[in-house]
Amino acid sequence: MNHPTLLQRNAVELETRRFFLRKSMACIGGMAFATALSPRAGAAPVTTAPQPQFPAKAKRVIYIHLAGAPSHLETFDYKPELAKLDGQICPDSFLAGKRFAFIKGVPKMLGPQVPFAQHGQSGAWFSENFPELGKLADKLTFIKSMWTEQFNHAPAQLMLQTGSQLKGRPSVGSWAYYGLGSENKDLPGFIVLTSSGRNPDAGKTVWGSGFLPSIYQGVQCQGHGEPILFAENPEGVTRDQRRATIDAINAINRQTGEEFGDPETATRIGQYELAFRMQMSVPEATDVASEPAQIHEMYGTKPGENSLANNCLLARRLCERGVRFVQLYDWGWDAHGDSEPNSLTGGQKKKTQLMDKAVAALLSDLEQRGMLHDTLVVCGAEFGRTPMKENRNAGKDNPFAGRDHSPGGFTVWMAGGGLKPGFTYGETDEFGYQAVIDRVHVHDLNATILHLLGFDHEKLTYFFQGRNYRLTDVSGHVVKALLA
Amino acid sequence: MLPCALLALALTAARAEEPVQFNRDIRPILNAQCFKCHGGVKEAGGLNLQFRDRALQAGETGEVAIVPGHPEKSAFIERITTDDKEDRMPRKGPGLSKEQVAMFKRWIAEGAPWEKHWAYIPPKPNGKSIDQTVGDRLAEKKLTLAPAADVATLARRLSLDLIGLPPEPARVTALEAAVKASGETGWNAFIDELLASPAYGERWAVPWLDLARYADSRGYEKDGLRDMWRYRDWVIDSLNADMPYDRFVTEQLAGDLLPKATDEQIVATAFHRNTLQNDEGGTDDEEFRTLAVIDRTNTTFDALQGTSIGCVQCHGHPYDAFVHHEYYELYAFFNQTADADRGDGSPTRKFFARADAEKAAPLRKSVDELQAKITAQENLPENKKALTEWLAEMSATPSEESKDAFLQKLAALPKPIRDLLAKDQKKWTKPERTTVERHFYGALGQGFTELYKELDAVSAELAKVPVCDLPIMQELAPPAARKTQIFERGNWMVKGAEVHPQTPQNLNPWHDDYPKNRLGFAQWLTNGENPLTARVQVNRVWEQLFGVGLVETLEDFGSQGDFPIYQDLLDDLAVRFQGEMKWSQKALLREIVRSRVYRQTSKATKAQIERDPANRLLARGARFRLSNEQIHDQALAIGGVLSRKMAGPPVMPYQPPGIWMTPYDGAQWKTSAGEDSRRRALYTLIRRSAAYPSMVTFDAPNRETCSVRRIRTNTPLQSLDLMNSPVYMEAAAGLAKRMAEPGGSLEEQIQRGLSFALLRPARPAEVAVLRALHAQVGGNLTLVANSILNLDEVLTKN
Repeated sequence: MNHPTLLQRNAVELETRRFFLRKSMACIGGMAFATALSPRAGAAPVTTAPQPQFPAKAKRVIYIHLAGAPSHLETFDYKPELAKLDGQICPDSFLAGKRFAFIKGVPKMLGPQVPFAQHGQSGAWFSENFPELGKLADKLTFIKSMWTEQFNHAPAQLMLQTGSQLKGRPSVGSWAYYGLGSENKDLPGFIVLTSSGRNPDAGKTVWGSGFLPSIYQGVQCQGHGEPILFAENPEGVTRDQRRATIDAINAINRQTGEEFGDPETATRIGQYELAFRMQMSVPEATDVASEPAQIHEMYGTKPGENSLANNCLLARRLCERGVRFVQLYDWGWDAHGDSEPNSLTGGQKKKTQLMDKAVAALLSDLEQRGMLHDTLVVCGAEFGRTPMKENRNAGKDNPFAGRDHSPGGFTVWMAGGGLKPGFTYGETDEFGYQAVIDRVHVHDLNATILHLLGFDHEKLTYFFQGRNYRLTDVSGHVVKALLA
Repeated sequence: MLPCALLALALTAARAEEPVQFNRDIRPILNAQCFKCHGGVKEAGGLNLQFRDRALQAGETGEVAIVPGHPEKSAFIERITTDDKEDRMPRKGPGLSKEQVAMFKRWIAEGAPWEKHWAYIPPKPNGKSIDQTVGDRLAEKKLTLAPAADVATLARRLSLDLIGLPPEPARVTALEAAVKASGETGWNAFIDELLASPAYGERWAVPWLDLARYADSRGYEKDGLRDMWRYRDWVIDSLNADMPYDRFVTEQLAGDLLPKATDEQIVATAFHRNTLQNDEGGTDDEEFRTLAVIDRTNTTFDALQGTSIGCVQCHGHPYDAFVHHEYYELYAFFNQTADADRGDGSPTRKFFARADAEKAAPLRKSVDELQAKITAQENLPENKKALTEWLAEMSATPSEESKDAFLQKLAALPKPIRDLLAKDQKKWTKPERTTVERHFYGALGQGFTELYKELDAVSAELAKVPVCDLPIMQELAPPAARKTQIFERGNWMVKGAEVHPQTPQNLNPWHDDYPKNRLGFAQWLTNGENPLTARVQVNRVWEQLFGVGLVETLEDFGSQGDFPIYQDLLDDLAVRFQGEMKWSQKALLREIVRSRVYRQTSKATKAQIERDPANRLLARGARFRLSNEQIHDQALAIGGVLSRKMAGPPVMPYQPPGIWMTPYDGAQWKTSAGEDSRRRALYTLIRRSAAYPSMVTFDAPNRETCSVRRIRTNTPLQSLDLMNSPVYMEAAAGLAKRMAEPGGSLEEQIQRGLSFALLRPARPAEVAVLRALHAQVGGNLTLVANSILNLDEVLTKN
């Protein structure tokens, strides 16, 4: 909000609104709703607005979710012991009491499919698919002992993003936006970018606001075509004319709000204001093509393409403009080995390399702009993959190297605001199957993310139908070892 | 504690003299605080509180958790009241409240009776009207029903609820007069008129099509288009005919198995052919057939039983009493159909739209008659012989002396025939053979040429009538019947013990005279003994009208779902729905919308809203944003541009470029011509992988799987769509025309526009705002109309 023209325009808008309140609506009590718009949270209505419990280390979040769940065993969790078991029959102890999505009968063990090496002073392990990210080893914070209860995509994604495997709870982005409000009243505080052609399995409920007021839900930018549909006025309609129509709509809506007392009306008033501002700010903010050639080179972006790389660059642009939470979903990481794109040594390898370039570029770019220290970057998925080779067809090995879903142990890495850089926490067993040392449940991860944003996860709550709800349900512990 | 349990407890407090009820008072607390460690998944300390006999046994410590009649001897009470932090239960959180502890003590003192989960006990009537039940409950809370909404508001509410469209202003005026003159009679006539409108079926089809996962494409990566629309029209027609719900369900589950199944009953079975079909290369058809059967099993329970049984696919139900093998016993009912994820979607059957059937019948008859006549004449022995000789002659190698004559004959033939004769006759396709034969017979005279011409003309006419090649259900004949085995850990390739069709033990008993197939299953579901069928449907209808179901979790009537505060109301309506109302949805709707509870004003004070934000107590009328379909249809209706054409293939209204990504078939979105671009939203083509943008923006599901409940949102993307999309601008232009055409002053035009949209007299302040707007936008009346269509009061049911 330091942009002078934006300031000027906002002043004009405010004046316009005052004019309308005075001239047109004073007689019908429209003023009451003017106060329903929170100055702090932009368009968000004041409810029981929470306050951070301690100073935030991170002011904004870029959360990269690799939907489908890539293999931790071909990325960051190096298991030389697993290599020794390659091709052997899986021990019974690995199967007893375990549930799988696809593995049948007794599978074979599958050694790491990619060579690993250590990088940086921290000596963090990276597979050779990460030439770029490896260079930034000392900026990353790894949790290698993540675990969840859910072993199918949709419930596991919901669990990670909303703290419950059932639909209807607010997502982590909604909680962050609810807690911190937005720094830019011209853009939504929580934006969702999806790439590789599809939304995550759990659909848009993973960025829903649940029982929080609907203003806190993620706003999805289209992956292709116009980023925000219908952001352009119809032909022949000027921006001033659109301003005037919104003023008229909202003037009458304020009266409706008074008459019916429905909080959704106040939200709608805010959403029309936001829509108007987005008409201007979104095309500018999403104009990836305006970036210089070396930036495109660095990220591997092609303007107009629906790719993770484009979304990484877009995320940086949105964060620069004060968007609180940018959630990325990249589709196609379900490395079962049932097809070439899902092959650990084929499609997944290529996909990882593209991701490596884009995500490393994002971190370097944020750092160069002096933003990394107060931006939290999270990169992870809903679960890990089995150390066994998948064999879905009658117990016959899949045609390509692939692994089944594995909720018992996986890796998430973070970087930026408030974290101990170049640090690795937790371990899976020697085969990378189950988290065994310093186990971190998804609730613990979420508690830690909220902590970095300045919130005690037990106190960032919302009272709904007789009970205080929170992101971490009734559990979760901040992983203090990760904090700088 | 579950949210509603608190409300329930709050209500209970007023009835302190009543005995404690396990399901109402105790189970919600156990559910929220205890079952996680002392339930089906984990039995910490050897204690399982799910079952009474287990809770009464000594645990690992030797203590007995619950001693009926003796709270002082029950370890359970000691552990929830102790000050010792190590021992106190529940271990996490602040512990149980004083009221909760008192409740447990009383319950144990009263003998600690357990109850089956409420939803599995058959509903009982309570002998009270809707208004009495709600009124009595509110009185306990020292509340009363709100006054009725005014006639115009209520007329709009009724019309949107029953037919999904607003009434015409003139109808509201007439209604106001009728209500003034005859009160209830006026209302009842209006309600009956709405229920009799064909638009009723179109409105109520939408929530059903969400359940049925109705779409016009196959799903998965390729997601090619397929014909399903005839099923959508069946749903509309059946609702309009008020087909009793038991029959409605039976025909969809098992229409093909009914004795002497009619065409319409076959169409109904497409309900379970809405499953996804995978046309991707290299996929195993059996795998995707299996997935379709799993989806049918799950959808049947999600949609008709409000029960998610998907989890039982892999293991016993963590909270509810369904066991692993029961899932596959249900699966077995659906595992006997001929479809098998084949590329051609077979079995399919061709149907005309119902309205076209009449038009098509005489054409079809002429085609058949002409074809019969032609075939008979072609098959005359002398004609057949002549053809055979000629074909032999034309394919033989001519001798030297006959060569010239042969070449002459050949040269006299049209080129296409010559070309075909040059080919091996055995390799002719059917149409190629027909072409040659027709040429030959035509040359014979005998009126053949005229007959062919006539047949072609009639066939072309018939081809213009749209045909739906509809996937249908077809039971395998016994020799081909499939064996059903449990999938170990839910994996379809690891087959365990064989199972046979059977319904779950904790629901109503099976009758031995029912056939063990889909038809028997449908009978079991609708025989009036099933505790869920009627409740689930009544709850769905209630949710459509009130925005929240009596059970909020429409998808889960199990113990993890919402506990209904008005269970007595739900049960009474369920009993009457399947009893005296004979499963008539129109009768049920009539009952509800005539109630005072339904007619309450939705105007509320801040305090009222804070006390009960979701209006679960029903102390005011419902107010919530209209659905995607209602918003679209209403805007076009207010603009006077809505086409009322019913049925037929899906249509393509305006869609921004770049939405369809079709790497496989290159299919294009081509805006429909004429009125087809302005049809009701339920006719818009649904391609699962690239849903129509407004559907996504306004919370309609993409119809990949059964969707039991839409979650309503309120976003800036909705504002942009409503303000700027060509669809809504066309509606605005239409409204501007309706405002301007009768003439009059600008003020009158604006008043007209507001009353078209709001159906109540415009207020001076509103007119003043829009007059000022009119001046600001250079007299552009379309923008004024556009603003009217964007008003909160227009987008919301008030």
